[in-house]
Amino acid sequence: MKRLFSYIVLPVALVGIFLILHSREVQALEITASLTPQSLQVESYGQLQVMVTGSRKAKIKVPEVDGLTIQNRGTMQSMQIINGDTTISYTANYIVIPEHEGTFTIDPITATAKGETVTAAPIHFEVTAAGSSSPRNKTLTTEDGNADNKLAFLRFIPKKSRIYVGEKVPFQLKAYFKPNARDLTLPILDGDGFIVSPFSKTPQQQQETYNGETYTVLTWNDTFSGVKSGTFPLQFALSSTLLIPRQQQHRDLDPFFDNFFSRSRFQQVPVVLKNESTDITVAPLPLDQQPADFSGAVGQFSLSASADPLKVSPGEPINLKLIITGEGNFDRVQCPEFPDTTNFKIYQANESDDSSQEDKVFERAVVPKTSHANTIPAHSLTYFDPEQEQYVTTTSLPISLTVAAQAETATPPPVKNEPAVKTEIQKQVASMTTVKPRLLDHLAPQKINAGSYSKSIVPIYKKLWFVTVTLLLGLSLVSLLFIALRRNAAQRNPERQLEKQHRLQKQLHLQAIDNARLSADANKIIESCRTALQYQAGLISGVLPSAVTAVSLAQQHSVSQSLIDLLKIAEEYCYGGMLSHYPDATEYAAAVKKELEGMV
Amino acid sequence: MSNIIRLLLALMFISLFWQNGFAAETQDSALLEQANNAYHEGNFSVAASLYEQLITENGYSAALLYNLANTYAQNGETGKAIVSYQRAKLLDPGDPDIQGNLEAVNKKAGLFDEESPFFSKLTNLFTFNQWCIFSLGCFTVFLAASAGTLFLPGWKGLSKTAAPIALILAVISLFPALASYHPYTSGVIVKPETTLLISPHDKAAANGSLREGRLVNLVKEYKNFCYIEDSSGRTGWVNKQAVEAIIPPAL
Repeated sequence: MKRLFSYIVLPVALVGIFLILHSREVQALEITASLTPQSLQVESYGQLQVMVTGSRKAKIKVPEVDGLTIQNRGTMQSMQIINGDTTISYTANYIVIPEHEGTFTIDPITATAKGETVTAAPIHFEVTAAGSSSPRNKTLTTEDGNADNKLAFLRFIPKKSRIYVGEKVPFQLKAYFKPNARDLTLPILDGDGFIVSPFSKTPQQQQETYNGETYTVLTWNDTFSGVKSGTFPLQFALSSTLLIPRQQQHRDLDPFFDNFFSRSRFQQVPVVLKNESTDITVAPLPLDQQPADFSGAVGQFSLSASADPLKVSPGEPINLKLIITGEGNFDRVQCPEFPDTTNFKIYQANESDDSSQEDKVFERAVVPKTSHANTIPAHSLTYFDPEQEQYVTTTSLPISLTVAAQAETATPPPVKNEPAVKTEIQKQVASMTTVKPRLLDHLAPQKINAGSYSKSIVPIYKKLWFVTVTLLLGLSLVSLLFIALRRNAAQRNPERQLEKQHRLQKQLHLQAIDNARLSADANKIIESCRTALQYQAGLISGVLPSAVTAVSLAQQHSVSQSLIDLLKIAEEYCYGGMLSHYPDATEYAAAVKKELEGMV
Repeated sequence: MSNIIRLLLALMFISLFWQNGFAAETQDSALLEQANNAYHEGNFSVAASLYEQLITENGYSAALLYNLANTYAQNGETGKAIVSYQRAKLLDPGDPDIQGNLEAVNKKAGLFDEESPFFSKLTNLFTFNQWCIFSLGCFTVFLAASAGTLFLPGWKGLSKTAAPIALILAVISLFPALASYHPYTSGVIVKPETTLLISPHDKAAANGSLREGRLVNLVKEYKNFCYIEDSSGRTGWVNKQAVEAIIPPAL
């Protein structure tokens, strides 16, 4: 027991006392009520927040006001402990919807907690008519007097509607919204023949009065240019969802139902806004006056040049910078040609990283070949000025150089003995002309064997062997199909197959007789004739050929007498060795053949 | 019979690894060695001209095109390097060095291909030629099995199973073959920041620009210009000198 008290109970008690002594709760009850915004319009709403500090829970009573709908939107509790001081609060949120314009006062809101009641100050605010501007808001009034009572619309305001090909023209695109809007997309160009620079994701936003109505306006300032000549319509489209308040009807319902229906107070209406189609005439650049050195740039430009260093020796590179400033289509601006390639060696110009939206900078390395190359000549840029409607050439000033004289010798001095003091640009040019640094060290190494060669790289179906093999396979397929079809036909008609077989057999027998005749062997001749006669007689009588005899055939009437007689002669020869009725075996064979050929 | 079956199966697998046609194999090893030495010394322009000479004299080979591509890549000519890598890949699609270096050059130049769908990845497993050979091999097996059904009664059971499978494979493999045909109609931009024009003349308005090394589809030609379409769907005309077809002219 002693141990329980000393090790557990005592420490817990000490900690609890410590917390109680050092935690001083602010218990005074206070109430504050605020309305945001402090001026409203009909068909809009405000947020009323009532905060009661000093209690976790309170009963708040909001008085009813004629002409206002006040709906509970929920409560929350919070507690803060700062430097040992604890602050607890209970907050209730409401929305306030005015039904008509006028001046309103929400009477003091009361809150009751822990048996104590506190009262907030009354709230005074003004409700103006829908669309009217509150004296506290800054507005801009436009000059257009077109009376059109739309909820949202789009206006396209170009600087001019007659432009030249490639000319960049500024314009304003303004999206007007009366109710709240959300889910806005960036405007999309709906027109052929124009290029528009990308729209900003953060347009200017302001309140503006248009045709006597106040709108929330989003403004994009941008440029467009025409890519081909002609007159084309230019239109933009923008998608959005408008939040349009519904009619107010349920002021006296239970707060639970109020909360339920308050979610549908606003109707979400998806819309696609399009400005009135504006015809823009894009004129072609005049070709008759076009100079040969016209760069393609359209706008107003000026050209300047700078070089560094200005004191060099022949062969040492100079960094030449050409800066083109002005207004216009910088995409079409090319680097001016270097006018003097006789005294200077020039390298490819690159667009510098210093280029911006308002200018374009080109840099190139130039190398004076001799000491006579002491001036970088003036550069010129010819562009088309759409304001003056003519081609204009602007030139930079020439740049004087100090190029040290160098005695010309038949052989160049040995490079190895000279100190290697080079500027950054010289090193860069040196690397361009001799050995380039390894940029890709991690590439797989070179192959040391060339492998097999091919005169062309073509798809395989163009190679002769592939075509040949394919054709052969195709022929094989056709052959197989043919064979299969014939087999099927034969299987469907067996009598025909049998007849064919018999015909073939007969041919074979006749061939055997001929072969025997050629051999001039009487026994062979008679034997082959007998075999043939027996086969044919067996076919006709339906008896096995080996069982056919002249005697058995005589009892049947299906076989012809001539065949029976011939068979009888063969049998007499086979058994008696005597050939009757015919002088020799050849004659006999001829007679047999004639008999067989006459049979169908 | 089992030997015949094994032979036919081997034929199918051989088609997957078929690299070249029946090409003659000649070497000019001295010139090649000279070119390789120039490369290793850093004289890339000399090395490139020697490789090109070898190609002109002997024909295209995967190894030469690969070496030439490395040379262009080291010399900063990304477009030409990619063209040569693509040509080498057509001749030797299974070479990992070619594929690895091509990816390295693309990565260095900031040329990243868009994520391709699963079917594209499947078709790109093999080249057009390999798919064609596979289809031909399957067709051969189909014919052999059909012949076995007709002429060899003992094969009927196996043939009746093998023939339709082989025929289906032969037909199905034509689809990925068609899908992988694109290198034969593609080109590569070989000039830095090539301007894409809306019509085929020098003064036409620009419609964008193309980075060197970008793969494009060559649609048609008109005088000195070529109408192309890039992987993102942009179309336009470029000067013929700025684009090089992957399939080179025959030597």
